[in-house]
Amino acid sequence: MAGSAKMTGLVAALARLVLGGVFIYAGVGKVLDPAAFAGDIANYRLLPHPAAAALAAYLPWLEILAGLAVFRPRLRPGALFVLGGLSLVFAAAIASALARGLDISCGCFGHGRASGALLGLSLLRALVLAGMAAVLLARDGGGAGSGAGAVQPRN
Amino acid sequence: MNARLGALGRAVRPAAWLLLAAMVPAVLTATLHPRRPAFVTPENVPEITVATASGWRDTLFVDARREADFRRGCVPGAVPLNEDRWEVLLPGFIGRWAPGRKVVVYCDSQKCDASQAVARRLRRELRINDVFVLKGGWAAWQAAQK
Repeated sequence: MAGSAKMTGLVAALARLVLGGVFIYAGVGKVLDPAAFAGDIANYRLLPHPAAAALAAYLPWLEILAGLAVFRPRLRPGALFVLGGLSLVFAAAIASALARGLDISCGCFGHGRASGALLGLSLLRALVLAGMAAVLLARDGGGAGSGAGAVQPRN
Repeated sequence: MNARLGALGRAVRPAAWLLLAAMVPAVLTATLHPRRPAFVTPENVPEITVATASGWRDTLFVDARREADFRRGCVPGAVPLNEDRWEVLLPGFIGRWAPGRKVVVYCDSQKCDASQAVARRLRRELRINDVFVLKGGWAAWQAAQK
């Protein structure tokens, strides 16, 4: 029982590393060229250009801060909530673009990155990340994590 | 269920702090970043039909699609140039363009924005004024050849 709890803890730590790492990487890529990212957002044809520009300045920093906060136990529940929400919003936008037959770059990792080529894969990735955030939030909702420090149920 | 609601409740406050904290660097980005986004809607590059473009002499067609699509088929004499590989492909465009030569940019169809993005960038960065977008893109070109 203690062994499986340790394994679960390791898997959760790895999942947090992947989730936080992906969003930090994505945010940094967008921060380097917010003008191009604004163009990517505008291409979805969901928002007027000024709103796309504001999001292009704001979203990358939210991704970076929330990605970093995943590694801080006190901030972790909030970070997971934000990252899960962001993933769902991205998934909805990509699904909308696919449904309308738009031939656009995802913009997920900054402008002109190779991962922008296939919207379908980007949608799948967004849903997987949202699922990871949801599972980790349900597990780590105590804030200090459900790892070694948590109270284990008595057998 | 109560535990899950409790977890959500514990997430809301730190989430709110993160949402607020991100505003500070965002404002700095919007005001000071050398590549800050423009809050003014960019003007669309004028569109021309296939018939008009075909009637011009010495037009340089620019294919703004992915290179794999370009290799499968393109407007005769077109040069590839897309935002994904701008720096790599730009020398090829510059080698083919000359002052006074009209440039017509196209992508897949009317539903893609790549041609407008590439055309705006040519106007802005290379100061080429005679840049236009092919209405209907590659799909319209193919339909006109039938």
